[in-house]
Amino acid sequence: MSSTPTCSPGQQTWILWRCEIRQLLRDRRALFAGVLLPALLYPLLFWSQGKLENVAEGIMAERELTMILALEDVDADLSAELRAGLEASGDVTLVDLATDQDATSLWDTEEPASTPGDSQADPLTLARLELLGESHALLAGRRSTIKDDRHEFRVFFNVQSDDSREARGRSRDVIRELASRTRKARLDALPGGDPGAHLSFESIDVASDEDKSGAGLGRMLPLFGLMMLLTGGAFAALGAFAGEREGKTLETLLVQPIPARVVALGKYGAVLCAGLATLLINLISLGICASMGLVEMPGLGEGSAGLPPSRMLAGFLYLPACTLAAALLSLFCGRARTYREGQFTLFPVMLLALLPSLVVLQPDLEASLLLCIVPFAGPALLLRDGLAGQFAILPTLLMFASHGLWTWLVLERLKNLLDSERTLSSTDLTAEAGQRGLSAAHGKTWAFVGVLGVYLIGSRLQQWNLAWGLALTLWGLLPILTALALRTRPAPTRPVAIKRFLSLSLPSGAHTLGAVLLIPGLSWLMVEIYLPFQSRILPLPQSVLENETLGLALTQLSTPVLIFLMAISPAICEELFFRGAILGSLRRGLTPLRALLWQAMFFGAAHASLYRILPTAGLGLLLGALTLRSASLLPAILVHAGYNAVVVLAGLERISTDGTWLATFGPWLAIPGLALLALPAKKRD
Amino acid sequence: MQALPIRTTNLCKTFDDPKRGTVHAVRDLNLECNEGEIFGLLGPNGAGKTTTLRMLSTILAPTSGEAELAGIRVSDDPLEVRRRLGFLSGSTGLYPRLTAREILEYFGRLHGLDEDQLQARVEELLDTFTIRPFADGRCESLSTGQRQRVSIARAVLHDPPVLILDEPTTGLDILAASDMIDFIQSRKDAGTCVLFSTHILSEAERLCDRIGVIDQGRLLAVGSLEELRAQTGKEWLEDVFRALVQDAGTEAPAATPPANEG
Repeated sequence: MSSTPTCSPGQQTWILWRCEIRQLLRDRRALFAGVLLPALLYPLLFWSQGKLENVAEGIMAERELTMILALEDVDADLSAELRAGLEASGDVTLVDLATDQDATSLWDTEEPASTPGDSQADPLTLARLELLGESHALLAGRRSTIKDDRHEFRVFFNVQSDDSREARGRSRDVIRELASRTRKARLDALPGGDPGAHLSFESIDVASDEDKSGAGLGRMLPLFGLMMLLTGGAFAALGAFAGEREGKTLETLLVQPIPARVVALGKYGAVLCAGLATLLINLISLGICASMGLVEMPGLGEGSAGLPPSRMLAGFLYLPACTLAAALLSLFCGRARTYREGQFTLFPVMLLALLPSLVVLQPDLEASLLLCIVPFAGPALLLRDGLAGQFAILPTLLMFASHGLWTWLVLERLKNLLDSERTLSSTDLTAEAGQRGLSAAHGKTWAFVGVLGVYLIGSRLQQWNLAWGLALTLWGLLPILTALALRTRPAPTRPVAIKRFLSLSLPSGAHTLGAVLLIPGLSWLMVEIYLPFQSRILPLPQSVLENETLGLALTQLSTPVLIFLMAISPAICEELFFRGAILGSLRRGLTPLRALLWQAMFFGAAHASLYRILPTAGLGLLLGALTLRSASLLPAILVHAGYNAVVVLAGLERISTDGTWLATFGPWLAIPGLALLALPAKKRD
Repeated sequence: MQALPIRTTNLCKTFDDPKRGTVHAVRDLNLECNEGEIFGLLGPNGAGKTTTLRMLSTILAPTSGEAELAGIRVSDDPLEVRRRLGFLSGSTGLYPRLTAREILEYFGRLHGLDEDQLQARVEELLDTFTIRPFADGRCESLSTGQRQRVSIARAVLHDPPVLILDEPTTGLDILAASDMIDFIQSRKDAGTCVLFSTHILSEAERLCDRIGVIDQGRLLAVGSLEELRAQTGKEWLEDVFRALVQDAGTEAPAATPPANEG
């Protein structure tokens, strides 16, 4: 038999890579996400942001304001200048305070003695409100009582009105501007200059423009770069691996005379190139935006020259992270059986890859030899230092070597995966396993989204207003996430009704009673045993103790509001999300124990505090177990609400747990409670 | 002595399934196919046909036993085996964003054909399988029959001495299926050994020089249609097949241990 011609593995890898790239270039989705979006995103974003700001400023300047002026005691010149300034600041109607009105309340220095919860305004405030009337602000001025040539001003406004705040702002700006002008004129007029200038201080940054730019860029580039690479590479990886498996072309490829290593390398090369291309286009677009002055970027626009090309060479220090990220993308897409499964798997992987890069935000953290071998953390630190002009040869070598090793290990795994029969062997055997994998990935993804949502949106809302923010997070954000998670859940081979998926059926009487009996013991365990124990091994730092705004905001709420906000609402909304939607997906994909552990971990993480993660994760574990055991959410809701109520009220010292019936009987009640809960459910899912 | 195109010796494949325990997909399969022969592997769904063909095509590794293709053991040198093999299954997909011509060129290059050789071969195949009219349109726009023709051309691009076709007519319309049958017939004249699996009895009856009846991973009988008729005393292949499967069903408990005891 004549021997058929052969070509080298290198040539084969090149052929495969070219084919993958050709397909990518014809994929509209990939082109949009990898090229068009990064190229247009920044110009559009910054341009529209600038426009919005201008429009907002314009709207504020166009407001028609009415201000009352009480300036009889002010010099005529100054008064005229003030009026002119205010009139120049925008559309404003200036009205002098009527002479028949009593203006004494304006200069009263007595602080109103108000007590929390007292809704009756004091007489002073009432008098000022009357003077303000329908106008937006009242500007009062008088000669200083200390020195004749000085003036003092007060502006009265109402923080609840946008117009009123704007009026306050305008009068403040006009007076400040006048003050600095007068001050300068007076100082200039004095022989010998400013007599008050006894000590002068000036700070001069000796860091070069390059260093400043580099340091700024170093804080941003590792995270930003990895994110871009991952988003760009994700489409390529999904198409090259999961898509090819779904399209049934992988089998054909695997019967060609090419080693699995070549298949893995060729496809991986395409993923890496796609990721790097997206990253590059992003950076170029960002650079153009900065040079056009659309945005102020540290390192791109700062300083006269920005970052010189030589410093930009530090970017190569991040290549190992790019190669590893692309390998991970390939591996996880290689495991996925369908495009959709790949999408679900990728999201948590991308976030996990980003986590180690967060080290660059710690300015004190040095690129030690140990840190250099940590995936993604090493390159991120070295890139940061490199951009700031520091370069260490040994950590760099170690980072390149270790990341080369990580990448190689991942690619070996990918090769085995492509060679493996697991992925191609009788699809009917693996169809169910695939369904399980999809379900588990869905649960983890949405749990991650939930945690992220609470971090990014919930925390902002609560900073704005604790009570309303909490209510919006619980009754707005979480239900939306629950609904979205339910909508996107993978279609199972046996359809599950939403009620069953969320465990919304009623529990047995025994389980309900058991849950109620458990509450006192659990709360006692937390308040009397766990918290004192934790404060010994992990005491709250001074900064947290001093930050009393949270505690202060809570103390101002009445007990019923507190119970609704801190006990009932979280019990319902958090249970629907974590024990309903998330555990519902996870338990259909994982063993019960793993499903419980995953959801408990996410539940703990969602509480965004090192000091609360253990108790909340423990609580999550218990509540999850209750839900699985009783096949219903209600026991978990009851325990969650009761437990939260006791812990919060005890924390604010509105109830005491020490020595009360809670401590005396709680642990004993928990025993029959647990026994009842251990009974099997009537219906099992 | 020239090696047989296909030979298996006590070929076994077992899967571990979490729900069903150990599944014996193929048990002690002994098979020999000759040059220029069309061999049909006949069996119901789940009989082990696909697993057997996948082991022969080096996609799956045998659990025990041996499989040889053109004298080369699949476990020893899978790449060499793949060079001598054309593989096609009914569910084979094509890259949607490549044209038929690009797909043929791609696989030709992977097989190491040099450019002149490749272009000549591609042009030849475009005519042979009348692909030329749609050769430069993307595969996503092709009909099922057109796709099938591209897939066949892809499988024979490197002129392999052995063709393995896994249920090649599944999912095809009548015209495309009959094209496929013509193609298999034409291979016989070219001296290629064709091993194909099917559960469609008329196909086997029309095409095969020899038929192997497979059920529950075991090869129940091998022979020409006449030999099988003589063996079972039945006239129609349907009856022959049913008789063989029923005979095996009554003998099975004594002959092999039950599937779940592995």
